[in-house]
Amino acid sequence: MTLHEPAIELVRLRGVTKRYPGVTALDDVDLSVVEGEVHGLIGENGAGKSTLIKVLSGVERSAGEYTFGGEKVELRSPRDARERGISVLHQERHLVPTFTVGENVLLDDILSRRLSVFNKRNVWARSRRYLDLVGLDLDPSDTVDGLSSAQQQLVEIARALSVQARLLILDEPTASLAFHEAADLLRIIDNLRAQRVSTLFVSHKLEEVTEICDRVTILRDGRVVGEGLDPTRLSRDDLVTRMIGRTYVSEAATVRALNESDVALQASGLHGVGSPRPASFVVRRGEILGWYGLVGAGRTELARLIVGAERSKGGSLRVDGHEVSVKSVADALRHHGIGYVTEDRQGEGLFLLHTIARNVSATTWSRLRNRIGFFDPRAETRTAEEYRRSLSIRTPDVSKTVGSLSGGNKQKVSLAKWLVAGPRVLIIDEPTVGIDIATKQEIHDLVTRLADQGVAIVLISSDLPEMIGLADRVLVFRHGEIVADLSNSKDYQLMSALVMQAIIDDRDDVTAPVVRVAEEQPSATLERRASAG
Amino acid sequence: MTTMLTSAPTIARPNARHARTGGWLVAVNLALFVWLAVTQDAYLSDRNIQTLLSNLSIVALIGLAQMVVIAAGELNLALGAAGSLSALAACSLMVNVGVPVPLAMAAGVVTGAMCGAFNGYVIGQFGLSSFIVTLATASVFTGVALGFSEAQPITGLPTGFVDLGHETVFGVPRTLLLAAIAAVALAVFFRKCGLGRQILAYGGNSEATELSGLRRLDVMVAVQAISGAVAGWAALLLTAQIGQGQPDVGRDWLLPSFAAPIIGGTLLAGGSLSVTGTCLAALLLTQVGSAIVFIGLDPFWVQFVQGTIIVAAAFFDRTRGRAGRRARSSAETTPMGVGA
Repeated sequence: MTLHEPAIELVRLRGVTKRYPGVTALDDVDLSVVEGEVHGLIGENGAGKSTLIKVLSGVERSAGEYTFGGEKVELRSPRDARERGISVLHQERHLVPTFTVGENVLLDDILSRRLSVFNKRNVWARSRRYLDLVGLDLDPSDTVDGLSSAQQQLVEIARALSVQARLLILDEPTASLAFHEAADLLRIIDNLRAQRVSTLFVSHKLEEVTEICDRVTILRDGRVVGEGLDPTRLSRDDLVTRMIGRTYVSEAATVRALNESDVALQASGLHGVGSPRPASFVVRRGEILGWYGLVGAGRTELARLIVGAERSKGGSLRVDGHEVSVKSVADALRHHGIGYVTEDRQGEGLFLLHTIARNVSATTWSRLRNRIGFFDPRAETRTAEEYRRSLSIRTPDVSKTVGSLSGGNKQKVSLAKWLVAGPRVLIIDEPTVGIDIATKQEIHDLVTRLADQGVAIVLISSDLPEMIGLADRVLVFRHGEIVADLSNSKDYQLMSALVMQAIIDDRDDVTAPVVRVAEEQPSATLERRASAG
Repeated sequence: MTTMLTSAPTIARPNARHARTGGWLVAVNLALFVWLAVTQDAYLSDRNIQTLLSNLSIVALIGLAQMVVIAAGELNLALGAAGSLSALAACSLMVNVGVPVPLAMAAGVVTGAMCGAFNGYVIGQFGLSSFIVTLATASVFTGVALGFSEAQPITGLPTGFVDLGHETVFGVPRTLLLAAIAAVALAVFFRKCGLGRQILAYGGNSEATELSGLRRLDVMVAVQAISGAVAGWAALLLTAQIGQGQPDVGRDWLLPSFAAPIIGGTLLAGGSLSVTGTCLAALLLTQVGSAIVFIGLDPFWVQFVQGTIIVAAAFFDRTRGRAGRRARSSAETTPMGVGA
């Protein structure tokens, strides 16, 4: 697509740098978005895309120069950004479910007029215009409750337009959409050019990016590795190469020698309400099985199904060869030895206001009783002390509350809790999100140690280097389906290309060199091929 | 380009849901009324109808006071205590200072509003839960009321005030009319006022509205203050009915305050309310209370029945709220990887 000259520059970033403790999320980033263009932003998980979105939308402040509409700006809040015409569509929906479509479209208007008289009909009538802009043929007096996710997304776009957005930032807008819905959305984004609205389009789906974007900027490790490229001149392989082309090989990238061990957990055609597609896989004792996929690819849903947090609708699950029916999370742990370290450690995994000791022993209170059946607090403290030392949880005292620990140390407590319980199978969901590099390494070591002790590990992670550094085998999830089973050679270049290939291939005609490991073939056939890194 | 998007699935309208709740409540109320009127001779007596409607005015008001807070997804456990303090302030002004009745009543309502505003400020400013704050201030307000009055009722209220509790206008108790004014005001407020809509938006999705710059503090102060004012109004009317200023007039309000809005179709999760439904549910509660007296059950069973009805209503609330929750849970995606 060609731009109408002369192009007026709407956004201009120069030398934007954002450091978090221990991590440089953005390193000297330049970006230029012109009026009316659709600008793609791509990069792996962890490349700094969401930090960049946060900087652009006033959520985070950064060093460097930010020019918007020809004027140097210093955004102090998301509201500040919105007043200038910067709207972000997050991956999560932000609608008011009890309000009508029309009210949701004009929500910002409603929220800014505290003392005026509210007239529903007037709101509905005015919202019509914006619904038309996004091609939504809905009655403004309908509630948003029953809308499909595509329709809800369009309602949010209409809302963004209603505040005269000049820059629309779309974060993975098609992640939760069916193929045809995504196609419709792309067409609408395409039409926004006519409104002189600029769009920053963040997506993992390279076909979409190539199809709709005028220019593409690629981030890798917080740096811009390609600014304002013309996507029509780049093949998909070029884009992938630029995205993953790093010499950095993740820690401990040695292929673990696995004995031909027993299958610890085997799922056949397992499916439930949250994960409607049947899933089959095996994980052996001492094996680390990685589950990679985009957010929403169905990994957490499958894990919840296995541990009994969701009800199974069919298929079978075998633990150590015996068919089991897991009734609840407690049942999974107590009777089948399946533990689950949740991703949401703040909300689900830990009791933040309780002491470290109590958290560590939470899964095994019944075992900490003394001879006459009373709970023994000293045994609790003893166990916790042991784990504090072996996991190097940085706290002076296990009687401190968990809430006072840093994210990484919270995660260690979360893991320690399961170590005490001694599970046969441990599912670990996104163990290192938001954790600094040093602690990350410790957690990785811990996971490997657990596997060495014979625990079968399912590692769910969206961090590709982590996945390739840790897993023995990687299952790739897409749209709730396992689309590839890759034996991990721990060669980052090769593996990341294979994984990305499996993820972005929406078409079936591509003959990707997917290494399929048959279910019966022991993964121990992997040679010890140490690639010191 | 709209072809794919026009096929909207059938949409459940909340107003339709309320209408159904309303219809159900009208039917049950009517059935109960007819049954009692047929089986109990005294039920249709003037005196009983007066009592019924007087009680209704109080139950409806305390239900509405709680409804306002529930609409924002919060709760107010201090509404009885704030009411007691309001009534005490008004009575004290009338009897000890000699302030004219309307002025003293206004001062009572303002006292309730101030108690609520204080709750809202503490909740919003310090990011605390309304549960714990109002639980604590309920004790604080009660302590002030009892300490101030030395736990003695204030007697010798002006007749102009006490008459409010006993007069009728065309056969309707004046207190019911005074309660109706508050109900209508609230209905208009939530339907027509910007602030009312903002409260509902906040209750429906607090995160989305906060991202749009609505401050939680403002919402908390607004709902708690309104709740306190309505509770104060209820306490004044009840005091007029009783004829003396009791320092703990709102002691037993907690249960009915939740029962009425929940039975009446106000979503516990927030974002949606029904003034009509709350009033109809208050009528149901009043009739049930009356029925228990008429059929000779021990009045202590009133609490048992109210409790049972609340459990049933909470169950209905769950089914009713399911559509809304589904929309929200499907929107919940997992947090993304670092910087992704």
